[in-house]
Amino acid sequence: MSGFLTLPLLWAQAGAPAPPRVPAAAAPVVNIAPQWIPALKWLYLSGDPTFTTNDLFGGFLTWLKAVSLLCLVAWIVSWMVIGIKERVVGQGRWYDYIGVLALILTPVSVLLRVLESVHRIPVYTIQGNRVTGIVALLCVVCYVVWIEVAIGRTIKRLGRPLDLLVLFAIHLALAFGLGAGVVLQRIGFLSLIMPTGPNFQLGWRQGLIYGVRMSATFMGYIVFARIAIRCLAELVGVRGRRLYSIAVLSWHEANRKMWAPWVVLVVFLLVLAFTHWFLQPPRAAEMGRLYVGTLSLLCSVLITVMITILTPLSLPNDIQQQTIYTVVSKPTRRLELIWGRMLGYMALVTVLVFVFGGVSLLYLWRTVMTAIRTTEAQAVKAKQENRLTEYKLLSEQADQLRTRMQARYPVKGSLSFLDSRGTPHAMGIDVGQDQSMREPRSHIEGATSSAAIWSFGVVPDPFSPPGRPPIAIDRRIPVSSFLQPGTIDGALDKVYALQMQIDADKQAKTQPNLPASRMSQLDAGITRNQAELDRLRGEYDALRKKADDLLAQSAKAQQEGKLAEARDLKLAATKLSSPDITVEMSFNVYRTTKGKVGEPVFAEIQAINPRTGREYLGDVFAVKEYYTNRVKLPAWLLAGSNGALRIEIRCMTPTQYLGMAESDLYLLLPPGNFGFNYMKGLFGIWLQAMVLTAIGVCAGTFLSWPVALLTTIFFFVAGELAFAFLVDFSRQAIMGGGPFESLIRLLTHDNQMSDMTPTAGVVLAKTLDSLVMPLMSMIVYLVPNFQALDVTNMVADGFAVSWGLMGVNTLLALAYALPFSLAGYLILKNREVAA
Amino acid sequence: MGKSMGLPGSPVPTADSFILIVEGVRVMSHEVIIETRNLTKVYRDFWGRPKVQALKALDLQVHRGEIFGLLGPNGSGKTTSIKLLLGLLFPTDGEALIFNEPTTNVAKNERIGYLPEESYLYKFLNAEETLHFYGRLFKISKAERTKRVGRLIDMVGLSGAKHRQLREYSKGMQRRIGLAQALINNPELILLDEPTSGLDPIGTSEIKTLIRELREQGKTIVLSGHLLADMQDICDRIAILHRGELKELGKVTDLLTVQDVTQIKARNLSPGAIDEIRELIRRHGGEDIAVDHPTTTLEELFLRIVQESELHPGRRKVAQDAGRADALVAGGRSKP
Ligand SMILES: Nc1ncnc2c1ncn2[C@@H]1O[C@H](COP(=O)(O)OP(=O)(O)OP(=O)(O)O)[C@@H](O)[C@H]1O
Ligand SMILES: [Mg+2]
Repeated sequence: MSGFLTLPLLWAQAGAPAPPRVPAAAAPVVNIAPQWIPALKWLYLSGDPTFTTNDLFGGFLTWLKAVSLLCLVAWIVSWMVIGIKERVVGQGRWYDYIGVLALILTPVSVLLRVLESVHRIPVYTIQGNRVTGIVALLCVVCYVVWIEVAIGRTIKRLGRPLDLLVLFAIHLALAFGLGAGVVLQRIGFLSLIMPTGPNFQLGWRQGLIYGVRMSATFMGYIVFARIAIRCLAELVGVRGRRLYSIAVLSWHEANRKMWAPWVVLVVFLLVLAFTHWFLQPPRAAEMGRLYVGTLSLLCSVLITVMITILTPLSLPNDIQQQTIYTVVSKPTRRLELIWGRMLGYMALVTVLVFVFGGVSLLYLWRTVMTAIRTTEAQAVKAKQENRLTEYKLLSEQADQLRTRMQARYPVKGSLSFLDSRGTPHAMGIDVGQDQSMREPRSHIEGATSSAAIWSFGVVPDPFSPPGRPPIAIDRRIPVSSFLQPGTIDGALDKVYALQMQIDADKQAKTQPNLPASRMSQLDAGITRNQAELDRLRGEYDALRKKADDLLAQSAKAQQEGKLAEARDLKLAATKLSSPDITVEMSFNVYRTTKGKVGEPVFAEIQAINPRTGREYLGDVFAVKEYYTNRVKLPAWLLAGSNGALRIEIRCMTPTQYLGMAESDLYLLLPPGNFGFNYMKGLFGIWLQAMVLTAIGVCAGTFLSWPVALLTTIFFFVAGELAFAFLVDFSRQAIMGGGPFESLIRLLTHDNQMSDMTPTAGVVLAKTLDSLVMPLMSMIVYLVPNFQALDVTNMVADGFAVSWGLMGVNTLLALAYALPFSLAGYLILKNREVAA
Repeated sequence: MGKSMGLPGSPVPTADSFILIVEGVRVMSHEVIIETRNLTKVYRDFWGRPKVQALKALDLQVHRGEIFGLLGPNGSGKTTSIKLLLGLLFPTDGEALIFNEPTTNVAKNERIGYLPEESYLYKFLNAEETLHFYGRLFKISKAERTKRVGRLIDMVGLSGAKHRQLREYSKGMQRRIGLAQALINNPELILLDEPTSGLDPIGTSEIKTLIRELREQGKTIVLSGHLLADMQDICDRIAILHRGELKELGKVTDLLTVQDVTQIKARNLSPGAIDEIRELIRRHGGEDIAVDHPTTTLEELFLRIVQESELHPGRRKVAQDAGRADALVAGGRSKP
């Protein structure tokens, strides 16, 4: 019942059980009326902890499920704790013996399973069922009985009517989930939805397991709803004046008691004063990147350290020094105590972010901008003195520096490959280099027909699973940002668009048995559009002619020696077209021994507008390693593209390989302001601070300040440095087993892949790991993904932080901060502040 | 508490209360402001094991418009009772109602003022900021709040020090600003935990005057303390707690009347008449001449109760009903 297990939660995290390996002999039984499928899908989607859709809604749903499951666990744990404290549980009544039995059986069953898996004991079976499985089941049953009875009795004795209602609803949810699981299996829906396809048949046990997974979520929803209602009731009472009052208090506390912002500011200025001493860029062109990165890191470190120390101290001090008595005996709501504090600290962070941002921008302006200007001056001088290689080097350097001090808006495509025989693939050749987990890199071979293709527009995802209709992804180019209205190319785009509309209408007319009304509608449309098309054509031709005239005049002026006039005329002519489209590429070169080091590797770019069929073949260029290649595409290429484009890259140097990842090539929109972008980057730090504040304040509601401080530090370190590791951990994807097994490997210098001889120590380690791992993997749901909030790398690379990304990150930060702050409220509400 | 003892807010009683002052006899409302039923508090340690039973089955009623004193030796549960009333602690058993609402209801705090026992103010704020901070927690307009802050600071005699941070304040000064914050919302019910501790004699007498003044405005006041002379002066009713148990409850005047001693005072009585009276008394087995009920001091009563309780632990019979009924008519009259 009640708790029916924290175990389904753990299973959920360990991943869905693998479908049985043996395909069913009989044909699949899928007898569902198609109109039921969407409803069933929704049922499964809402219930299964790991099944989700791949969009913002899916993200929300996953969040909801995780929060609900945590609510459920917290609910069970808190009632068990109340039961123990109020002497309902742990007093030697019959169900307590069952609890003890469960606690003993847990390590025993895990130990048995480990022994079995390392073949120290044979696989015993009773009527076809493994003994280990039976012991595990017995253990689970014991837990269920114990928790069920304990919580049931505790609530009956101490709970309010609402608690009884929740208990009842949870049982309903449990029954519903289990029933749903079995029914979904019976009608074959589960087999249908499994990645293995409908040909694998699942037994009723799988149905039950899926039922348990779903019921855990459903029970979680019940507890979540109960908590949500409670929080909403509290929310109604929250008043701005009280929030403001508490915020002002925290502000004063931070300022006058801890001196925090001043300390932080002094440290910031001190570090800044010595930055140029210890910051030596490896390449001159990297200077801006290094400085921007370091400064934002400095801001981030200072602010997070300040918040980490400040927030967990505030509430425990308030409680310990009894100052809180005076506040809570006023009509202050507990939630206001928490949000007010967060508000005060965030106000502090906001001020600091602006101060830090302003100072660092000033600093960057003085250092990097000066460096750019001197480099450019040197380049000009070198050119005047005819030192051409040096000129090229210097201007390249200045260019790279300038690139980073911008806010470039990249337009990214979807990358796929052609192999050397011209067959399409999702990935190119893996040359065995180190891979970044975030983005896989693969290579194309030089002087073959292999190519890397970036597709823009609405394109099929190259990684869609085979055998199913491909998933479309939207990578459309914002054409109107490239082709300005009033230019030749803008007019051409309109002409194309209209022409395509007319063609489509004509096509529609050819359909058999079209109703007369529709037919006349189409006809009218065609005539109207045709007239419009003629007008636009005229406009386009006029612009063309004007440009040609200007060019002719310019040529004439040139001949007559009126150079200035010729230049002006030419400029006026180019102004009539939209500016060229910049494509930036940064590839890496994988050199085989056959090539010579230092000799450039060449590549070729070809761009095709798939809708008009127009093509552009760029010059062959030498790939700049570590730097960015820039190629201009003519604007007319995009006319009529409706956002679609295909860019193909080929390596021209035989036997050499060119490596690329999807984000290595992009079109550039007109850049934005760097300073503004830098502040947007700092907003990411602001969000981090917000999450951290929520954690710190929440920890302070029930822990003494040293423990609260440690907890907050733990959360920050785990989220900032170890999040990826934790995720791998929860998926059990770490090589060499859990912490204990790894320790043994460390001590015995065993390698991570080998199977260890099953000595007693190894068995013990594996057992301990199996017990600890599920608990550890719970942490992944609690630890915020701080890294995702940090976008300063983008800023340092000179890329604009888009509003969309900021919005998503804000949601992400709220998704963490809100539950933490509400958990803090619930804890504060249920504790005696004066005990 | 400087020259003006005028209080902020109106002295007009609220609608459902009425105080009649007829020739020195105050008639109080029947309305119950505080009620505790079987209120019990056991302090537990981390593991839930009982440590101290601080309050045992307290049954009390406090009516609108009275000054109620909580007396008891150190550690007898006075502060615990007040904390329970404010919802700072949760009762182990029983319940407490204020304004007929459970103590966990936050909204009722709009009508309550509370002066805690000690160290309860933010030391990094100054007097004015402190009062504004607490004032903003109530639904008071800004203009009204500013007015009240000024008057309260004047009233507690801290005008000269209002811009200094509280960490520089002496204990008495902190107590004064604490009192001011308890009155910022012009509360109907005021809970004062040892209001005179740390105050000089002048301050103490000012506080007593203030408390009486508050009563005249129809406020209900609950105060705890062990300065018996002060309590005797100002309380209408008192409860004496000893080790968490209610030992005595009633009107101060009644409690201090010694019922088994009779004292007769007369003027211009002839010696013959006195002899006759003596004779009469002697005939009835009496032995003294004074014909009246003398009153003791509260101090004597208190010491007696504490001594008795030490000698005979356990529940002492407390006349609940007497207190309740007599609370209706309190004042200068004594029982016949
Ligand atoms: N937080 C606490 N934890 C454990 N025991 C406590 C706690 N607070 C008070 N007590 C105990 O409860 C009993 C009553 O304490 P309380 O503070 O109510 O006494 P009091 O009447 O206010 O005393 P005083 O006159 O000294 O202020 C005492 O025995 C005390 O030790
Ligand atoms: Mg006390």
